[in-house]
Amino acid sequence: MTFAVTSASEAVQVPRFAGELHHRVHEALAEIVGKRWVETDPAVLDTHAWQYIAEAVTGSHYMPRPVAIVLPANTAEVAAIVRLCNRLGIQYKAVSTAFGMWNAPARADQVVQIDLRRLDRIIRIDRDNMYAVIEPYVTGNQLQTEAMKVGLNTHIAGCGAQCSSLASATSMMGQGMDGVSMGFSNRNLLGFEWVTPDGEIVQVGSFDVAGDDFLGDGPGFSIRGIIRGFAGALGGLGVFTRAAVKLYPWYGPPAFEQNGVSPYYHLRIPDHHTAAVLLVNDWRGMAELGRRIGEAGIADHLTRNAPSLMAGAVTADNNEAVEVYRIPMLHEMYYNLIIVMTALHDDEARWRRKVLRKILSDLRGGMLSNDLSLGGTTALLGFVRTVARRIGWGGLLKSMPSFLKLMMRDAERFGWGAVPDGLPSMMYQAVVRAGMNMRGVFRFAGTFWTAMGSLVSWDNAIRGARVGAQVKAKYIRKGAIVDDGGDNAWGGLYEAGAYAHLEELCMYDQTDPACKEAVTEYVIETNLACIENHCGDSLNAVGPTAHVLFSPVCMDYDKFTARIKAEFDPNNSAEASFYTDPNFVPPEGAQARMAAVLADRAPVSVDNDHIPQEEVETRRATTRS
Amino acid sequence: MLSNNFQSLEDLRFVAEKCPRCSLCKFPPLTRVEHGGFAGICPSYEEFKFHAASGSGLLIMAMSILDGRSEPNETVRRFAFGCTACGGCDVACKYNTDIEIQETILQLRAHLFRTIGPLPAHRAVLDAIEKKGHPLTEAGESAGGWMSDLGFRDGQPGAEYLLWLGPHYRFQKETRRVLGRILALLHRGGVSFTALSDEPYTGRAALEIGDRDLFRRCSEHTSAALRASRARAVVCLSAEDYATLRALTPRFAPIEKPVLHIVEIYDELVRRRKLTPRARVRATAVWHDSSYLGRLSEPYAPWTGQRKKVEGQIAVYDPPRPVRSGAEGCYEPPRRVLQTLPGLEMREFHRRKEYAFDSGETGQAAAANPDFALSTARRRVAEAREVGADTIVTECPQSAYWLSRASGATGPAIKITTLTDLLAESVNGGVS
Repeated sequence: MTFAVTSASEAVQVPRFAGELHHRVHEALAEIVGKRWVETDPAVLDTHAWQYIAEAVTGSHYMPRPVAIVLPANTAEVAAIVRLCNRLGIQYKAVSTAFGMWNAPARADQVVQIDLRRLDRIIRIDRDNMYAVIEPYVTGNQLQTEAMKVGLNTHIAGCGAQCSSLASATSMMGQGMDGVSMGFSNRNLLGFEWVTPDGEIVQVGSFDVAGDDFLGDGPGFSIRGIIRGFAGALGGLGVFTRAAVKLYPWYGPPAFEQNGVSPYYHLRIPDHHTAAVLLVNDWRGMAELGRRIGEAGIADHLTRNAPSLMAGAVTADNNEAVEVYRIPMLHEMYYNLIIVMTALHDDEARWRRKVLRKILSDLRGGMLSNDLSLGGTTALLGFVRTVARRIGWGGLLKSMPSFLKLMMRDAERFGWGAVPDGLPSMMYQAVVRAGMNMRGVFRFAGTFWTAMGSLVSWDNAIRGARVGAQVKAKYIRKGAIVDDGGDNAWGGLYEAGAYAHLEELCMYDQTDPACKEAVTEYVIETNLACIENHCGDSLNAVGPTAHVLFSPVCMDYDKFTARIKAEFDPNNSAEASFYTDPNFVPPEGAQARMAAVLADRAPVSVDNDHIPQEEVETRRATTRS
Repeated sequence: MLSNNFQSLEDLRFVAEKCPRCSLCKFPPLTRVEHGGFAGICPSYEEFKFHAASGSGLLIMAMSILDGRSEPNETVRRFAFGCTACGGCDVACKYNTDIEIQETILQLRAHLFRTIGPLPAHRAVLDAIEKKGHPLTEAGESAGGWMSDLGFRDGQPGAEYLLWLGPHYRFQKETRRVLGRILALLHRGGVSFTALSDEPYTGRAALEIGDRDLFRRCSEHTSAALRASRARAVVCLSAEDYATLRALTPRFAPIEKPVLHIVEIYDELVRRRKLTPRARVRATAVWHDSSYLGRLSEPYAPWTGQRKKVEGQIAVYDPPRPVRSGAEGCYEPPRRVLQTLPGLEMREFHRRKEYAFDSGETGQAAAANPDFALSTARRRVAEAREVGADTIVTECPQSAYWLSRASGATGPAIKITTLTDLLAESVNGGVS
């Protein structure tokens, strides 16, 4: 089970305002950073307590309040704050862009929130050695914008380009849509400056000895592995104040040509770049498609987005999104991958496109792309035929008026010249710039939660997606979550397909108690199904309650992380409730909740080699109910 | 029933509580970011750094008060009014969602006004509105003889346009210099216009400070004055009035005439060759989309309706709810005029049009904290330097004021001028 086991009735109460403690801490912090950079006002503290999916823990928008928020200016001040907390016997938790409830304290009035907002510099972009040195508040978007000017690009995590690159690299998971060419955050951390839990400043990797090198690990054990492992310590193991992250070649212009006004922008896809929605006929086809694209090494971005997410991405509001989602042609585009291929010159672009078309042709699929060549047009016909196989030619005809309306809409906004690559351009923006993630997952119902999503083989990821979809169908039928057809697996392949991840998104209204309750159960069920179907350790393997479930089936990892924590942080001064918490007490009611879920579930089992027809039919029926 | 005419914080709860604290409100729509050093959209977050200073932070504090978790106090007021209310966060957020951050900020201010009162500097502004009929605390001169000196005839029958001068043109001598040029251009273009010697103040400062009752009264006076005029349309000289009459006044009192800005008249006159720029203008210029002329001028879109859930839990509106994304601000007319000026080389800010960075003048932040306004204007000037401009052009008197103060503060001086000045210089062959 996960951290979601606390129900609304067990919610953490609004903490009493601990005036004396606040005052004492405030004074001590102000001595380090100056009065201007410390706040202890309850309303201001709530701006850090209010977090995405806080309702999963507390039943409300708010996590427990920190005792103070402090904004240090440099590493020395961070270290002084950490030492102060050790001395006062209170905890601290550092954040940068701070998106998600794991950034907040789990207990009220015990934790100083160190907001690293003032450390916001790109210190260096080393073009020759392809890495950047950044501070915590540099966003993926800022780093990408500057890197592209010198022919480089950076990995951006799925949480969006507005989030901190350093936080993802040092302390979080960090999967993203560019994984096929740039890996995930763990793989891009080359060096870091670390204020250890007791306030020592340590430089690791690139910053060690030579200072200008770019190695992530030296001889001996991997400190990088110690400080983050798979999921990162989520702030539970000190503070990271500087990082060197790997950059990758960018075969594109230093800036993009765009027009339009918010919320509709058209980006001209650069010369020699291809953006496409690839479509095949079934899960097996999708597995083969991903595998072969990975092997061919032709993709820079490769991601799977369910039709509902695509409808969200290409529209500006929910009314419009629902209209688009209901177009039969789009609604049934389940077995898809979105690809972006960049190239240095026309010959290379042609080669990549040719390889892609061959793969699609072998799989009886097709693509909707900005490739307007004869081959591209043939692939478009393949796309149409693939859709027709699912919805029939009648369904296709029925889709045409709405589809034409979409094209007219683009023409009205950007001119007819923008129509042929309208959808590919939107996908290109969404994938390369990673700034439209909120449209589907948050705008639809208010928020979302996720499940499954471990880093596994592509086949295993697809099995996980199918498992997740089957578990979800029950909650869709209850009307507790968005009916996205069950399957809303988002993710992709990494490092040419060497590994992959697909997480099962579940969108719901966080203000509706019934929805919250149902989603909590959904997460418990998907966790159990994840284990039963050998799908790895789930993105929800966060926090001690989840570790109880996952650790025994994943090499007892929790025992190791607990030992690391004890060794590096004997005072437990870095708040680690979502990492490994020595003071963990199982929440009241957890056992009863688990028992209730167990009593009301039918275990799910799937086999990639035998996909029963009823699974397909179930989904179609679900989406039409 | 829900409505776009929000009357309280509670009215906004249905969208405000969807804030995921994702921080997108701090940046322009990400696909449009062009420079890592000019990647923020929120002046107060750039300055004060706490999340509480951002759009999301202000929204969360408003919800915290509404939920009874915290009380209105000095600290909340400091953050709420240490914000330019420029609407940048609102545009950024609405690129992806339908959350009403700008409305929430204005309602939070109204709540603070009702519960703990205004800041002393803002009290002075409100007193000026009540006693002098305008918000300029240091200006006292009454409008009068100078109007006829400039060729105005009050209430001239048959005039096509009613010029809405606004307090800055009426009561500030330095701005009245520009007014003379505006009138000369209109005369030259053959435009028939009139103005009101007793023009009421539209009241925006009152709304921004949170005194909605005073704003209502100002709106009613404004509405009555416009109704009494026989002019076909009203032309605002001030960007602030333009934004107010299009987006705010209609919520409190009807505005039945088309509302235009003077740059739109210039655009029309140049296109119809009633004004012909001839003399070369030697400048590498960048147009500053002031928040008032830009995103904040997007017209109010009245709506009442219901929220329904379809496809299980997708929230839709019946009928569809229009949201103000900033798209319908006044962006192209001034650019078209600038492009006709011989010799002028145009640049663009990295942050422009609906996602332009403010220059410190909006939201009454300057009245309470002039250092913050100056610091914000300096950031804008630095951006102008970065794009290679030697001149910033605006048609917002408050923007011009703060940018001028900031122009030589750091680095080489940047010339701050108005579109009126450049157009007059070119049309009149350098003699204006």
